[in-house]
Formats: sequence, structure tokens, C-alpha cells
Amino acid sequence: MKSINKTTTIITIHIILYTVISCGHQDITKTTRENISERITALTPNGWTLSDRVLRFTPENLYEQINGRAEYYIAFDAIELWFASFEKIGRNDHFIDLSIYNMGTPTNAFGVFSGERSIDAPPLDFGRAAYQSSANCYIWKGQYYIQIIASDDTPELRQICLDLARQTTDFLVETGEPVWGLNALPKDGLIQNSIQYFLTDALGLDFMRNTYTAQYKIDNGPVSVFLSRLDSQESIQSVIDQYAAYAKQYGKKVERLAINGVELIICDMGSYYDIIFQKGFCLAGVTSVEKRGQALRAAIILWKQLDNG
Amino acid sequence: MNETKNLGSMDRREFAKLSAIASTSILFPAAIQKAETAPKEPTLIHRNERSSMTYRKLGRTNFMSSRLVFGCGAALAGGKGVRLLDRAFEVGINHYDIGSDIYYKQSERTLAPFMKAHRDEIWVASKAPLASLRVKPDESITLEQAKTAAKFWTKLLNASLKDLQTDYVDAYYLMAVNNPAVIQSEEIYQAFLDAKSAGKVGHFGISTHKNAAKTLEAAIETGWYDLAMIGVTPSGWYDWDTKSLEEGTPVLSKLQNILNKSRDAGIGLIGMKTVRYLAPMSSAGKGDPTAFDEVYDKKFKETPLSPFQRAYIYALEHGLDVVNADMQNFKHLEENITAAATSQTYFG
Repeated sequence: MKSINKTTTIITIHIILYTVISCGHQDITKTTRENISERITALTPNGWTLSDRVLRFTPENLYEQINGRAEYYIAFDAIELWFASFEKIGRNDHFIDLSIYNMGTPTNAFGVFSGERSIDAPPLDFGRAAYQSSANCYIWKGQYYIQIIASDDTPELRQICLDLARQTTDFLVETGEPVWGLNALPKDGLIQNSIQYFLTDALGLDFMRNTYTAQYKIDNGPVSVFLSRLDSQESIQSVIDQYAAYAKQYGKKVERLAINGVELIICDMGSYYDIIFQKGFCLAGVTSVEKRGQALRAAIILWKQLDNG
Repeated sequence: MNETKNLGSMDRREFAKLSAIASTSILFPAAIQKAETAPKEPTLIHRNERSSMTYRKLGRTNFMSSRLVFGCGAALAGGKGVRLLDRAFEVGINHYDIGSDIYYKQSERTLAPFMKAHRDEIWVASKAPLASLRVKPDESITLEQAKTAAKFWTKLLNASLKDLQTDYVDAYYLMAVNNPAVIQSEEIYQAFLDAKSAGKVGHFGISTHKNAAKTLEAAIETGWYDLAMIGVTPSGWYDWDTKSLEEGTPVLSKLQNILNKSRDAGIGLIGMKTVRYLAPMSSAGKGDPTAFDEVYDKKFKETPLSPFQRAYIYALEHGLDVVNADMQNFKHLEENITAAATSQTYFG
């Protein structure tokens, strides 16, 4: 009976969350929100209490909760944040904050997760990727990014955070939708956990959208790589032209070179080189490489390993 | 006001050399004679000053800050804006503002190599929220709460130093404070004094974007704070919670009393959220580029500036020493450089 109830509960939650996802945040009914709120409330650890009710924030008021950090999530098209703060009974200086960001798509959720990731933190076996840093847990699952932040780093808090991470991850829906760049970027030489995704302003350039970056070890040295998939030749040409204009303005020289049929745009930025190229509907390149020769070799290797998008 | 256009290509070593020559009274005997009778002027701190930027003394820190402060917190998240740093340095931006990893994850770590490369040429300020202290703007705090908050702030300061890979920051703020009782907490101030005497931090500051007038008044009263980062727009105080103008706020030109009083108390004033209101909804703004037009006169309104540049220029010429701008790409950076470098040309 207990098992049936649990199954029913899980199915109900999945239905609720499916409704949330498919309707979009504008159409979420009050009932649905209350149910999610109840589900989060039920995560309250024994001996702890919710310091306030479960709160929901949208891009319009996300600032109230996370200060100037809101822009980071909004830049990835955040849909909503569910937030709860748990306090240890009788010790209000012991708290754990749970934040569940609904980013709308797994790609955007990966974007915020990857931008905040501590590469050297011990991984956790939750969701698609997760890690623990001090007592805090950070998890990417489907379209959700979950942060669990503790007031201190003690064995007790570490364990409670892990339990919360497990329970939260369990009740959030995983659609299974793939993240294109994670498969498209070559695996050879890829430095683990180095892939990031930027919806806007990759490399600080306003025309670089939907871009993945990663670190590789090529020629025994680290090389930064970017990859973007665009929808038309016009779009690709426009980005190439803007990149060349940027390199002309801030760098020393821009040259075009064909090596073994591969057309490369080499940007001498003064103290480093960027090389960009097109392959099919992909725009890719190597960036911030100190030596021209290494940059060229890395660009050719990357070109060979990439699919056409 | 102690504003300088720049020191041209004069670096700190050259400036020191020139000062040494002057002290022989060969070049400036009259000035030296005057200096002997005048009260001793504090030594100003000059860093990375270039002809492409303007500078203003920040309160009793005596630091000549670029009028455009690079707000690193969001821009460096995930490392995306790291290329902007070199350009910012190249044009003479010498003030970099960042925040604890608890808010701006990875940003301090991203800034660290740049900070290391230019340690003596730039001013770095960071900040930490008193996240353990959950009080409303008008509530008092208990001794226990204050002690816990002080401990929490110190912990985050130490974490910031570690992430920045340094043992010293020029300033460290109480982030997003809006409660006068917190501002006047001796326990929290003692935490700063302890950090200062340990050589970890130079100056104490607050950042506030709610209840700003009362918060500033409280800061002035203590005499403890050298810097205040305030959420303010040409149309008046910016309210954090509503992400709009504070209800009933006077326009910026009518806030001069409190701003002057702060400055007279030795507090350097750094504007923030100055253009947030203008930004599109996708950037957490209100998407209304004309929002401040009612405070501009016809001549200023007709200047060939973007709404963002106009707002920054107006703020810089109406009581703010410098403005902190969150810049995510080169386009934003260049626009803001132009605004900060030319602001003094728009108002008599």
C-alpha cells in the first residue's frame, strides 16, 4: 500500500511538472504552484523548519532573491526559481537554502551549471552532473539547476545537504532532451568538465550567441575552443564578418589562409591568436593561443574532428 | 572635488619623481612656500591613469578612481567577459568591483589572474552579504545576531581572498544592506577592524539599494565607512524589491544634500543600478529607454547619446563620484567608456 502511494505520488508529481513545463510559467495554475510548494516543504529535514514559506520568483522579480546575480540566470532565459530556506530548530544561524532554477531547456540549465561549476570539486551521482563543494551541492538535471547552500561546513550539514540533493533530484522530471554541444565537441584531448555553454555574449562579444566553449590539451598545451551552430549561411557569414571587425579593432592583424582546403581566419590579437573557421553550419575556432603555429595546428585538428553540424 | 582629467602617460614612479623635484623648490618655489603654511594635503593614490579616462577622489580613501568602475560580478561569471578586462585596463579603468562567490560564483576566481598581473596598478573591491542575518530594514538586531553576522562576513572575506588568490583587497563591503541597525553594529565593525589590522583589507564600505537614504545617514553617523555603493538613477533612488524607483523618491538633483553630507563625511559615492531601469526585460530592466527623460533638459535630451550613456553622464555630473557598470560585452564597455570620459563636457 505504501509502495502504491509512493508510485501514485511520483506519477502525480510528474504530471504536475509536465504541466508546468508544457504550459510555460505564464500559465502555471495556482494549484500547481501550491503542489510544488508542498513538495518542497515536505523536504524539510527532521529537527529543522522552513524559515518562511516556499517562494517562487520569475525573471521580473528574481533580483529580490539573488541580487545582481539575477542577470546571469536571466541571460539564460530563466523561467522561474523556487526557493526555500530551512533553519535548524533553536539555531537560526544554522540554515540551508534550496534553490531550484527552472531554465526551460536542458541546454540553458547546462549553461548556468557549467558557468558556476567548480572543476575540482568532488562529483556527485545525481542528475546529469553534480558536485559538492564544502557542504554545498550543485546539480544539473534536465531543465533544472539546483543549488543547496549551507550556512557552514560541518559533517552534519554535509549529510543533510546530500539528503536534500537526492530527494530534490528524485522529484524533478528529466525529459532526456540532449544538449547538442556536449556531443558535437570532439572528445580527443578534451579537458574534463571544461565545456561551457553561453546563450549570449560568449567571449564578451555581443554577436556570439548559442556558443559552447571548452578547453583541450593539444600539442601538450591548453587550447581554448569555441563552437556554435547557426541556421543559415547568411548568419554564419555575419558572425565571421563581425569577428573579423572585432579583431581588426582590438588586435593587430587579420589574415585569411587556406590550408589543405580549410579556410581559416587568423586574428593576431597582439599577445595571442584567435583562429575561426566554418564547417557546414558550424562556426568554430581556437582562442587565446599564445603561438601562431600552435593555434594553426589546433584549428586544423579541430576542423578535422568536427562534424558539419 | 579633486577631479583630474588624467595624468597623461605619467605613471606612479614618474609622479613620485616629479614630486621629489618639486620638493627641492627648484620648479615650484611659490607653490612650496604656500604648502608650508597650508594644512597638509593627503597623499592621493594614483593607479593606471590614462588620457582616455577621467578620475575622481573616492572619499577618505584618497584613491583616484576611474569614473567608470568595472562591475565584474556578473560579467565574469563563467569567464565570459574576461577579455573585456584587458580593454578596460588599456583605457585606464583602475577600479574593479566584484563580490563573494556566494553570489557571483567563479567570478573572483576568474578575476584572479588579471588582478595578479596588475596588482599595484588597480583597485579591487569585493563584498559579501550578511546572508545569515534576516531582518527587515526597520528592525533592530540582537547581540547574538550581530556576532553571527560578523562571523559570517569574516568567513566570506577570507573566502574572497582565497578565490582572488591574494592576501589583501583594497576595500570590502557589507553587501546589500538596508538596515541602519546593521550599519551601526559594533560587532560587524569590529570584524572589519580585525581584518584590517590583519592586513587583509584597506577600507570598509556598504552597498545598498533599498532604504538608501536612511542607510547612508546611519553610515555617516558612525564615521566607520569610507565607501558607499548606492542604487540610484537620474530619477532618484532605485528600490531593489520593486526593481523600480523608490516610491516618492526625489529626483537625483534633489538628493544633493544627502550626497554632499556623505562626501563631507569622507564617504566616496559609487552609483550602481543607474541604468538598470532602462535595460530590456531580458536584462532585468523595465525596457523603457525614455524612463529618465523627464529629468533631462531639452539640450541634454537632444545630445547624440544612448539612453544608457545619458543616464551615466547625468549621474556622474549630479553628485556621484563614480559609477559601477555591469558590462557583458565590448559594445557596452565602449559605450560606457565614452560616457565616463566625456561626462564633464555636458554640464556647465
